[in-house]
Amino acid sequence: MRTEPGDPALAAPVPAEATARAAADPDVALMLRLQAGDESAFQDLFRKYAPRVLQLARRFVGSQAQAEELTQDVFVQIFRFRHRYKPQSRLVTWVFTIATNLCLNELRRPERQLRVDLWDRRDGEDRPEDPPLPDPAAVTAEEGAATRELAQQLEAAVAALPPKQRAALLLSRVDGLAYRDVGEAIGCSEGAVKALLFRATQALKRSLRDYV
Amino acid sequence: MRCRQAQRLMTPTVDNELEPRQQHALDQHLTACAACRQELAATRTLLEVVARLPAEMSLPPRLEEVTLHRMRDAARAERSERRPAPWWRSLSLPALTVAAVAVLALAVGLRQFDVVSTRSVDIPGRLAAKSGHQAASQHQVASEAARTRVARQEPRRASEPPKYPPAELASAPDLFMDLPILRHMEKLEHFDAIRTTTVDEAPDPSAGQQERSSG
Repeated sequence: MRTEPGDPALAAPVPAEATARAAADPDVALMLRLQAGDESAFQDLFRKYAPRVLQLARRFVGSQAQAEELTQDVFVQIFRFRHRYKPQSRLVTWVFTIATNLCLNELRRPERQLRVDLWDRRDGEDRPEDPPLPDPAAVTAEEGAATRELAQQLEAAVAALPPKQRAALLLSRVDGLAYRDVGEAIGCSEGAVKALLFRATQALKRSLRDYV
Repeated sequence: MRCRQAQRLMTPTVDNELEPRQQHALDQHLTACAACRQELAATRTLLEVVARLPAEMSLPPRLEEVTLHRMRDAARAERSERRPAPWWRSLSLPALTVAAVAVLALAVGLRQFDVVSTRSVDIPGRLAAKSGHQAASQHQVASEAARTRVARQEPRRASEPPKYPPAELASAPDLFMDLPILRHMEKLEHFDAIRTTTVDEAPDPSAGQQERSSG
């Protein structure tokens, strides 16, 4: 299914170099199709990256409904800024840059801060933000109760990290981005990424000292 | 290398992100420091556990549909934004300024023309007053001029009001009240002409008396 193929509003000229890269990298080919106005490319992109974006967003905002809304926002942004994508950069990095920025922006929203503050004042009541609900698929049944408990504690400890440390840790360890790509996604240098990861690791060690 | 520095390099070494020079320095430190070797083992275990966190999440059934719908809305918005702009938007700011000034000047010019033409209608009145024609006062001529101007701007009424009241009303004088303002109704009718008349062009007092006596 195409969105008005050949529509100049949606299509853009494809340079020869980009075509060559597309032949080698299926992600580049996907983006070139999207830039040319192919709606099915958007669907393919969504099916490929939305499960990862949704998981990342859920670990940032805690709420499933907000994570779904953020995932929608991420892919709408991808569509709106599709012509800014350069085939020289990895698509996964570009997607996670948009996702991380939106997640961090969401955490910075004043109304969200107010909501968290209000919840913080209620003693003995679980906050909706953290710890997030453990993913049922996180561990298999064979791994046992101890592993499930560790997974829950780990999710809670990750959720308690400051946003940038959380982003650096999740992008590098869970999504497998190189430090350079993590820096691009968060908007900092590789050295800063190393510092963020050091602090995040130290915090997790403190939180999980009974398990690790 | 000190233990504190070594600890900072532990996460990058687990992630294979250390430069060869730093890796060499860390390896040298680790061979001599048992505590840091233990710390590195703990860091490796922790990061492996973190790496086992699920990277993906199953998508809710309607999420793709809703996102696709929003993407189509965005595509429609893009198309509408790229429609050709109206011709006047292509004009530069100086051109628009010149056009605005021209329109303003035209409007002022038309107004001046209207004033001059009104005064030209008043000229016969002035001449008549100066020539001493008592039958036609300047006030009356000015009134005529005002009537002419009003007639130019407004359609004349279909029928003139009767000069005298009908017999049935004349036979019931109690229906009428003797208010001073009613005696000056004619002056009010010619208010526009009076207002535009300058002091040196004041009407003949005798004509005014005649009017009052007739009113």
